[in-house]
Amino acid sequence: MNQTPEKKRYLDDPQNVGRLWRGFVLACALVAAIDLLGLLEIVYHRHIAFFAEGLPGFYAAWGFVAIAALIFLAKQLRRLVMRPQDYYREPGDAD
Amino acid sequence: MPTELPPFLPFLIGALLTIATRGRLRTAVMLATPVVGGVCLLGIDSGALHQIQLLGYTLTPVRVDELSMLFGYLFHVGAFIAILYAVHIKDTLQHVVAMIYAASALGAVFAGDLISFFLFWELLTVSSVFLVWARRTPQAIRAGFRYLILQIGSGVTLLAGILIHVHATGDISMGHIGLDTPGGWLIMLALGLKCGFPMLHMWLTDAYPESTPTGAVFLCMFTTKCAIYALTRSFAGADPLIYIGTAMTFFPIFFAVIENDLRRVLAYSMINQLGFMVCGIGLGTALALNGAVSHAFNDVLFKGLLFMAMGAVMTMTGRTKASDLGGLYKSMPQTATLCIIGAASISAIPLFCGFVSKSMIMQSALNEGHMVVWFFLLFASVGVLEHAGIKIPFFAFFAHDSGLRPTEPPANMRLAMLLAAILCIVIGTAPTATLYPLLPFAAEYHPYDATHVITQLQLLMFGGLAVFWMMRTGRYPTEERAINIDFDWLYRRILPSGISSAEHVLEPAWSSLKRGAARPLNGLIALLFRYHGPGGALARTWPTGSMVIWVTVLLAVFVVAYYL
Repeated sequence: MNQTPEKKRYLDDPQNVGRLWRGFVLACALVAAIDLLGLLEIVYHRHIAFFAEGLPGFYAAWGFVAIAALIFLAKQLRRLVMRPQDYYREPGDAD
Repeated sequence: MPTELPPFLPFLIGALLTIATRGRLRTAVMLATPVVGGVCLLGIDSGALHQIQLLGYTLTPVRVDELSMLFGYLFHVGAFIAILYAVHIKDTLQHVVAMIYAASALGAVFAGDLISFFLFWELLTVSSVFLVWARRTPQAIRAGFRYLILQIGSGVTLLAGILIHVHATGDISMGHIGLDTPGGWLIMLALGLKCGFPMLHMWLTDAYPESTPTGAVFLCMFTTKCAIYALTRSFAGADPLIYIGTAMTFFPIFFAVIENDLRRVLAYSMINQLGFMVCGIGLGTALALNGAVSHAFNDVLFKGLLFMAMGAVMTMTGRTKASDLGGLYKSMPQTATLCIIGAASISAIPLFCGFVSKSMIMQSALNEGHMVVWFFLLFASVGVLEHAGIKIPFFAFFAHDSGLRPTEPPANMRLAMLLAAILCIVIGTAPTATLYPLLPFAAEYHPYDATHVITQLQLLMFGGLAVFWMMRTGRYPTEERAINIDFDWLYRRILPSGISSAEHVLEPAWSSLKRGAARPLNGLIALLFRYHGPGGALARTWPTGSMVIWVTVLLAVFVVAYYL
């Protein structure tokens, strides 16, 4: 099979992936900064239904911690529930 | 144009016409069915349209109000998208059962009494199982049977609940039922099975991923949404639903993180989304109920879109496992983009439709003072971002390059996905002009205020930050070619192995019992054989002469006895 080599994509270059990653981190920092300004009643007025919402960066922290906890716990769950693909011993299982 | 056509009728007629037609004519008939049905629905009058007297009960097969109309619109839109997605396949069975399935869903949401509702509920079961079986693999056949057994279990429980409820109250109308009677509990259990209550959910994660690529799209739209409709109608404000719903949002996200089959990830994700709705129904305020039904509406669109995207991948590559896929964006950029729109919608990113519905439920939990529930829901919301928002598009279309270079799916599939994606964005950007006027309960809600948008963005972006950070640092769980056991383990593994180990234990006991009992029994048989067998004294043929002798002897004895 003679195929012309595939053209290189933007995401194939690890440098570009690194750039995207840094851009995303920057965007996160920006959103957190807007939130802090919001708490100081600059930029916009912030409604708070109960105290935790008023803590600086509450949502950012919750988002980060929740995902970290979720993934950590899910990895532990794997020890409990992961089985080989033919576990149920039914024909066609290994497909 | 006022019509009195029952909303399910166009689809039943469409199903018949689908059997009779082939080729382009069939495509036209199938696509016209939801359009004609939708036009009829727009002109329908509200109230009880048809009533039948049966065995002393007044049945109302068609009752129209705002709640049923919302689901009526939803099912027409969903059916149109799903039919468009499926028209390229040449499988009469799938097309016909899909039409009957849509008809039964419409029948269920417009049923005005419990008996009509039960009939459509059963029809949902019977028609939908064929969408699983239609894949025609051994796994699909078996998963279909397991699905059928559990779904019929739901039907039987519903019937028992209805009988007890009607006996206690004498009321067969499909209205508020509540949990005051045992009948109410049974009915809720039956509805709960169909919308994936914890420990009753395993049929969903077992069967949906085994269905056909197009069948899964229909399946994710109707059965569970009918259950949400019925819970809203009959159990609004039932406290246990708050906690059941919270559990439903919570446990599937862990399974979704480690699941390898991407359509099974979507099935877990579905239970999670249904959890938000069930929680909203349990909260029971007008805002929460609006949140629940509007989230059901949006879920049909974005979950349909995600199932369509994975169905497209499956159609073109024959694979759905994360460990087999990756890098498909290079040859399927359109599908990848549409999938990302679905993923953004389910993650409730502002400007996408999940944002404008889920937040109503979250807000209601806060308003009602359910702080713990709210924290769990917030946790589950970030979880959605992880498994549906990032995992699905990332492992299918990006991640490590699998080397697969499939082409884009057929035009009709892309068009169906495009339609769903457009609706996701239109509803997300302009909810007050589209979805909110259709909502049946009176509650004001404005999703787009600065606080809500910024906090939501923070939540999701930092969640995303955590995911990508863990991926970059190798902390993220790798895709494993493996399965994860769930509650179906009880009847797929424990029960069969229990039976076979019981056989191992009981078999020797049974043989020794047989041996022990056989000895005296054999002696008895030998004894009987000796006298009654072919050569036995009592089985011999006696000559007539000996008979005469014995009669003479008896008479002689009699005469002697008489004289004495």
